[in-house]
Amino acid sequence: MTKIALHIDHIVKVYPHRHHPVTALKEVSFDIHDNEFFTLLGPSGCGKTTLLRIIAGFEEITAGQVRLYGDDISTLAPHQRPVNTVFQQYALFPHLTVADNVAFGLKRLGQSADEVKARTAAMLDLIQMTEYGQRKPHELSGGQQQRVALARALAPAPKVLLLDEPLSALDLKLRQAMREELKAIQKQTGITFVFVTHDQEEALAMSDRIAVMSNGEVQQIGSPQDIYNNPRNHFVANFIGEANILDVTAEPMRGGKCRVKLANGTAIPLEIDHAIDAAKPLSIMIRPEHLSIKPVGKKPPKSALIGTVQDLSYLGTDTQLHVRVDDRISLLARVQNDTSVEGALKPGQSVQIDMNLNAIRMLDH
Amino acid sequence: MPATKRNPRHGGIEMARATEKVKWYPGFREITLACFFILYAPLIIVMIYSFNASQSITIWGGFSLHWYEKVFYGVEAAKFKTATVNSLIIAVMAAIVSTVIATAAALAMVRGKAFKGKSLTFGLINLPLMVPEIVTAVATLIFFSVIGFDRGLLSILLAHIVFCIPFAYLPISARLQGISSIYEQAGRDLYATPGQTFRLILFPLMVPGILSGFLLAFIISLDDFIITNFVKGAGVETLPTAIFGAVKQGIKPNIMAISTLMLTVSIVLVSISYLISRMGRQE
Repeated sequence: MTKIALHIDHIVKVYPHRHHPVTALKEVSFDIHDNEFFTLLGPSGCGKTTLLRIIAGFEEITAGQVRLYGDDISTLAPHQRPVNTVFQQYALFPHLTVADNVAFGLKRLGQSADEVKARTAAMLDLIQMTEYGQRKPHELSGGQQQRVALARALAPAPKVLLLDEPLSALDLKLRQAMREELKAIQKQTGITFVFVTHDQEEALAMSDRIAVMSNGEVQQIGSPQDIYNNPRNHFVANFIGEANILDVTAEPMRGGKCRVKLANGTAIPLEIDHAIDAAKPLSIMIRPEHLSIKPVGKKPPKSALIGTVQDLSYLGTDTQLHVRVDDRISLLARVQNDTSVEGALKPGQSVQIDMNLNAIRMLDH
Repeated sequence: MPATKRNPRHGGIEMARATEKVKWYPGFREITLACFFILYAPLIIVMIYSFNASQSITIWGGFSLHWYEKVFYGVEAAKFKTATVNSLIIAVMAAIVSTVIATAAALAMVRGKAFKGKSLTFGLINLPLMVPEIVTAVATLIFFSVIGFDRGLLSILLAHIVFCIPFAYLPISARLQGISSIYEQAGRDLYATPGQTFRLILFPLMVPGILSGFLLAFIISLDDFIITNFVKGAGVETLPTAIFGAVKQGIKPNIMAISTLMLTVSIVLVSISYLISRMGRQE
């Protein structure tokens, strides 16, 4: 059984503004496993940073409990918690050298001068900045400051490392390089990482598991593949990647199957194992890459979905297109640029749309 | 102006354009030059005539350090020396005490949680800057008389401490406002107790502000005349009151030499204060 590093237990956070209190977190509960790269993903204002600051001890909780390897740490001050943070703006102490920044936490923990020196050197080596020890933070580039912030937070060997959008201030190339470096350092050190970001690509690339948050609630927790392929609801489907979401009506059939009908009456046979309440409004989700588009042949099958190409945008490896079926249905599709189809598509053209049935998902509202 | 607020970079461009335009307003150049002339011409004349070889304060008689010699070794040298020592003792002590008080006040006002009467407190701290100095002087004199406090060096020192606080407060609180609380959070996160966080992080970052607050308070105390003149006892002189006493008997060129020396000290200290605060900003 996997060990639980952090147990987030029914946490509520309300900011008591005089006239209208703001609820930042509504009874959030989940576990973060030992040695896991765990990401809190959501748009700004979803409560992810509040939750991180609660774990670090910078925010008091209104109700609930935070347990770190079984111990309740909810009431401890930040300096009493064996967790460290990499801040969004790095927050390197400007009056101290790089080495003194890295050594800061070690000294506060009462380690001997020799231990501090050895550990600081090891950390600078880990981020490949040994020769920068005597520089001041303002003499470093943004990427270097980022690495020093990481080394400073890792030096005291925290039980959990918290990272608050640490890559958002870097430019694209550096951000992509740092993703790999962060992931590698997490594997190398074996420390549990809790990473906060609003960038879904970042989350998918680095995480072992992701918690998608919005409006102070966790919408779904799962592996990147799980979150992308099986989004539970509208929010997750829309927030992670691109999705076509279509309203449907369902008719149960024998053998666990059911048939759904699009708004224009097109029927789609789907295999669904859970019972469907046909009275409720339903929708299905399909990713753009799971639609195949081809010019309408001479005899299109009666059941085929036919639409008109609205516009095309060239994206390098593939081309994205909007296809309008009728007033109610418009689809986003993506075709790879090395196929023969791509050159044949023009705006205004009639096309036949085939859905990969295995990739269609029913969504909860 | 809301557009400027939202986008500082854009605002900067607009401001640059605005200054360019001001240059072309009719009469602006002349008014500016006239202001600078009225402000600085007397100072420059005093500095030049302090090197005058002649007894006259208006007729140039050649270059000489005669009057500087008079300041240090002349008949009045002993009087001015005592006054200078008094001024320096009072300025150093008033600057130290008012800087400590101002630092504590700035910490409470900038880093403390919101409390009832916070804006009133802010007003009270800065009020001495707005109250006419003569009013403060009279009030302080009456206060000392009423409580039966002996007038002398100590009464001057107490009065100076009080009116120096807002001058020390301004650069210190400005500096403190510029220090993001993220550094203190990072300190707490790295196992520093609240006391260690202040001692190892916040205080070192505040030092440039504290030093420039100290120097400003020192200068303000050093050259105060009105309040000092009211609360000083008979026979106790600071440099400004001694100069005033000497001038009453007629302006002699040695006063110009003393003034030039004081001006030099002030310029040096203000420059140091400016350099320190600029150094702080660069970090």
